[in-house]
Amino acid sequence: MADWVGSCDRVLEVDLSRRTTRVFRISTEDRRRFLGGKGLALRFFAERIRPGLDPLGPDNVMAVFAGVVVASGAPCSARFSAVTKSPLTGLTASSSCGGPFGIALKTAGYEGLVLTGRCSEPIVLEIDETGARFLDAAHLWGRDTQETQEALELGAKDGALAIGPAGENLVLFANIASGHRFLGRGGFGAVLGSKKLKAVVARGGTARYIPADPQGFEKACRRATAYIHRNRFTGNLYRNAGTASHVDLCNAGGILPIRNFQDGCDPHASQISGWTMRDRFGAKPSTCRPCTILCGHKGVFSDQKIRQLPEYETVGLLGTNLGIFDPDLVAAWNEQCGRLGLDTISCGGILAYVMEASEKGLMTSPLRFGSPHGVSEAIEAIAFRQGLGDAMAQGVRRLSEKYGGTSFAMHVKGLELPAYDPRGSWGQGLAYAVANRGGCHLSATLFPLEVFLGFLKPRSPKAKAHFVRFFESLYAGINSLPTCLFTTYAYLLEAPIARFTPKAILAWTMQNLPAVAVRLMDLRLFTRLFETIYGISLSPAEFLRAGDRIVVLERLLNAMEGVSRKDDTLPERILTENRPCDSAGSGSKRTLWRRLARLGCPEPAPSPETPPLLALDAMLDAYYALRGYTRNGIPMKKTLRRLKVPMPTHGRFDGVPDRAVLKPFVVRVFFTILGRALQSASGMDDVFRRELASWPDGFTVLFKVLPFGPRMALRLDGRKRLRYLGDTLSEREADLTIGFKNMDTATRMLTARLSTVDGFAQNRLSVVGDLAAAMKLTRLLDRIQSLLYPEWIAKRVVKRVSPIPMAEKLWKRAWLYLLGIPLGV
Amino acid sequence: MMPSYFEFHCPVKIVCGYKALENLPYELKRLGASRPLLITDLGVAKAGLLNTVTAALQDSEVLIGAIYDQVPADSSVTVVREGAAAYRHSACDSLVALGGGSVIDTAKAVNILITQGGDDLLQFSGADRIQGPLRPLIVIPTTAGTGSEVTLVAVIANPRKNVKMAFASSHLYPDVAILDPRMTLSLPEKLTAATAMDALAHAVEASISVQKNPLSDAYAATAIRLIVENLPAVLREGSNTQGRLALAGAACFAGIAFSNAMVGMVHALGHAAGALCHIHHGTAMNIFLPHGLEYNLEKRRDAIRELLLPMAGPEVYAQTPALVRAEKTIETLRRFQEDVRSLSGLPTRLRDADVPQTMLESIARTALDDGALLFNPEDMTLDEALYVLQKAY
Repeated sequence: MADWVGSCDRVLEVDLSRRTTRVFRISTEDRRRFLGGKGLALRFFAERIRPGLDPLGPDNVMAVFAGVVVASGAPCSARFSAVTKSPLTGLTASSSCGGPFGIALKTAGYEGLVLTGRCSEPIVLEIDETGARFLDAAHLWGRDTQETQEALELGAKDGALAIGPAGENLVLFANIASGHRFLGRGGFGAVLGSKKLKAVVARGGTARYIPADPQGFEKACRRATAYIHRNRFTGNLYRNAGTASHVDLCNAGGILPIRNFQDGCDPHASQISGWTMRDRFGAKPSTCRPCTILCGHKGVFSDQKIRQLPEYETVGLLGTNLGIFDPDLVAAWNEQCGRLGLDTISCGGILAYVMEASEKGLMTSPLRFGSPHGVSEAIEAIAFRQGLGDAMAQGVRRLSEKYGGTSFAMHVKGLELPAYDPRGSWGQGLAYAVANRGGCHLSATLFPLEVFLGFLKPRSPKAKAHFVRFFESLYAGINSLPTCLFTTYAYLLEAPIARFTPKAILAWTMQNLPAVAVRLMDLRLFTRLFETIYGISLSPAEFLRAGDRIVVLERLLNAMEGVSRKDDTLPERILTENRPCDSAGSGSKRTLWRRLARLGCPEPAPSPETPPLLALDAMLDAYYALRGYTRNGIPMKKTLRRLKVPMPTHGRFDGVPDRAVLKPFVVRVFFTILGRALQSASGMDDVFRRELASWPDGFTVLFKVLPFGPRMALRLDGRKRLRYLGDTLSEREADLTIGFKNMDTATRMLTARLSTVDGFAQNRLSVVGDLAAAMKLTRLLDRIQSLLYPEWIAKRVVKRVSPIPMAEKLWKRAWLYLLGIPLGV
Repeated sequence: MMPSYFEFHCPVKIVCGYKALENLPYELKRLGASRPLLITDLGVAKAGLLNTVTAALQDSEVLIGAIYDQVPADSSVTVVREGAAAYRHSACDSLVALGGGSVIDTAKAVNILITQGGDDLLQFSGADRIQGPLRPLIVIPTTAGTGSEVTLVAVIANPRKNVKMAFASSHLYPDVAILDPRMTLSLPEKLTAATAMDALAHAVEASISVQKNPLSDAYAATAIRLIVENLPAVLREGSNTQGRLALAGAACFAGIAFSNAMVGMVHALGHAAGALCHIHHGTAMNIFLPHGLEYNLEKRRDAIRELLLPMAGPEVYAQTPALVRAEKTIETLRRFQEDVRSLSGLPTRLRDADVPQTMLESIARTALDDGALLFNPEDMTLDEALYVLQKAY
């Protein structure tokens, strides 16, 4: 029995090939920089791998870490984190789990466990305070996750990691079970399977942990508990109806995936929501331990069996996304997946793809949307890799490459999308696109802000990058304490500043001053827990910086695998298709004053206006700038230096150039001036009106600096006036794209040092689209330059200054500079 | 004169001269192709040129996969689709275009469809909409004018929408252009004159365009000299092989010059007149060319002056004072056009080409939206376009 203050700081490293172990200590320096949990797991993982290694080979490393908060008795302190290289994505994967293994590991006297090498035959690794033992697991091989854990004879203070048949058979999205919770995404189970490690058992209860500042700790816990009880999400929705309570909210917000993301809401959705399941099956808490939120439940199903109620992601992907609205079926498949050791999100995504591909005739299978026929068999076939299941076990990316239909393969970087459709929540789209482990909703969650709470406009790129960056860093920090991500709702929203500020002001600040808003977020509960338990100070800024460091290190590892901007994208379907739910009712939203203004006017026929396509590039640009990445999404050297990210020895990143700052800024300013001037002139100038009369409605022009520079779009509205849209438009909506081949050309042309004529003549512009339209546009550009510039400048930039009477020119110029450009009228 | 900046691009291998066609199998092999689809039109097929091509493929590994000979004078979307279907049906691996501008443009458009997939040409129309390299394409021009064998554009009509769709992409450059005098021998006099004047217009406009550069100037000057020296002789004696070859070469060089330097108002007016009054492109070029020079005289006096040398020869150039060389150039051009008219009957005024005077205004309006105007030295307005048209009438 040993007593420790905060943490034992001990890490057990096990070489499975040689069957040797060693214990090393976590330095204070590392603790400050990486906190614990995911941070430290990543740090020790990073120094043990090299780019290009085979995720299922002996060189792959898996690090499983508890942290400071674990086993402290604080609310929601049962989490632990793991990091490995994912066989599904080929990139760094991290995962968090609330099973009993975390506390068991820490109370066995180790904060972390690093697994390297590979066993020759199946074994179980048993860990206790004296060290590790390798036990034969031949008799367990082939058993499912629950049978395996039962066979391990776990005491009350023990915890295990166990894989099922899916992990043994190297299904690329196999997971690891701990109790009835899972290290779910990215194929951790396959990595253990490749190491022939059936299970890891931690025999805990021998080490005890006391907080460094017991009184402060008590106080923080009391406050945390009060916040959790008071918060609407943690204290009511999740506690009573679990995460599946999201179904109603997502359905209303149009982000519930239906039939492989072909739609965003469905009238049957309520049949499968958390509240309905609670009413039908009862809901007894069945959660991580200890937990204050109690989001996990179990119930008695129609066949009188007690099962875990499925979580929202499972309901979404094994339910609505397959066109299934029967909770009995979903719960049964959920249990089946859990026993076999399959990630329900990836599994559901793959089933949906197969259903759509089968309906489209790309492959033959009995699976069809809306029909449970063959689903259970398919899940079984995946786990045992039989028949088509063998291809399905490779994940949706490889499946679609083999059978075709990559446009509806719903994955990012190979990881299947979770159950929030980004088309109704653009910030979540950005989060998916840039998430280090691929299509992941827990890297940063913006859908609560956009859809549930209404703080941010869902279909706008505005402010999204700030919040994605903030949540990524915050969540990386929380997973490194580690505690439950859901505490964010309570700790952030119930803190005085958020609680007592009127919602309208909160929303306005978040929307318009995101940089201020994220700085005002009160993170002190998280840092207080860390400080009072471990005894070293941690300011909220340091906490977020640690999060930044973790995210950037993870990105750096991915960049070494070849990830760049080209990979930070979303499925073709998300970027190009609109859903039926998008057009219904979207035109009816009209503000009160507009309705008043239109009073008495004949109501125009409701336009079948389609909502804008997701403008990912605008958000990516802003995100990379905030993160300190190049415009191509590679961490810059000075960012690594600033954050003190340990530079892996096998770098190849010495040649990464910094971002240009001045010229893009100049270009952006001039784009705004030009755009607003064009918008204004289109309303008052005859030449503009004459020219624009022949353009089709909705014609969209995009100005852009190639390849990833600033952007500016203009669109012709129904009244034949140009509307300046700035950088809020998806490039795919542009009918005509004027690309400046480089930043220098853009700067020189916009600042009137290179004329439009010469720009075209010297081939310094790339025109994509209709050439006649480009011709018309150049006439408008000539005209606006004649209006904006005094004659001696205009002469240099246009072939011939259009003769405008002095009086007209002067008032128009005054209008443009005084009203048009500043106010956009 | 060296411009401050310019770009020049021509990736086409030019195989030019006596028995050049016999190299076709070698060139196909070099491109890794052995089963080309041959695209041509019925006129070419009737003239017996196909036999020359098939004879050249004798005893080689190359097997013509299929022959598509239904290209009309103005290619359309339907034709392109049929061509693509023929390609797919016969499992071909490359394209050979044998014919004039329409055939070559069709082949370029077929190449877009067969490489990018699908049947929808519309989504690739405009500039730079084509991704990645296309299949091997070898062109054998049978007229000496359009220069399409060395350009990056293709124009295809869309009859349902009654528009001409333009495709421009650096991927549209053919891989090889084979200029063989046997291919143009059978061209009738008037067509020979019209296509040669088309080439001359390319070369002249390229030498005064805002995008001109030393390389394009060299090509343009060579083309002008070859045309002026050889066209009358060919018109007098159709079987003049050397002259035919010179004209074919001149059209090709003019093509290289204008696809890098671009053309201006003469082509803008010509395109509009062609679209609205169906006047042959070469004829339109012949009519508008001197007016274009006059219109741009003030802004481009220096460039026009230098054209006197290839157009009139060194003696005249040396004897003419520098101050009036530009005017002399236009005068020489006019005199040359008169010679051509007396030899072939190619009209030099719009009224002789059956254009009704009432159409002039709509021609002017259409011309203003033509992309070529971007590269004209002077910024043409509607009134000025109309004035030029009146003069040309």
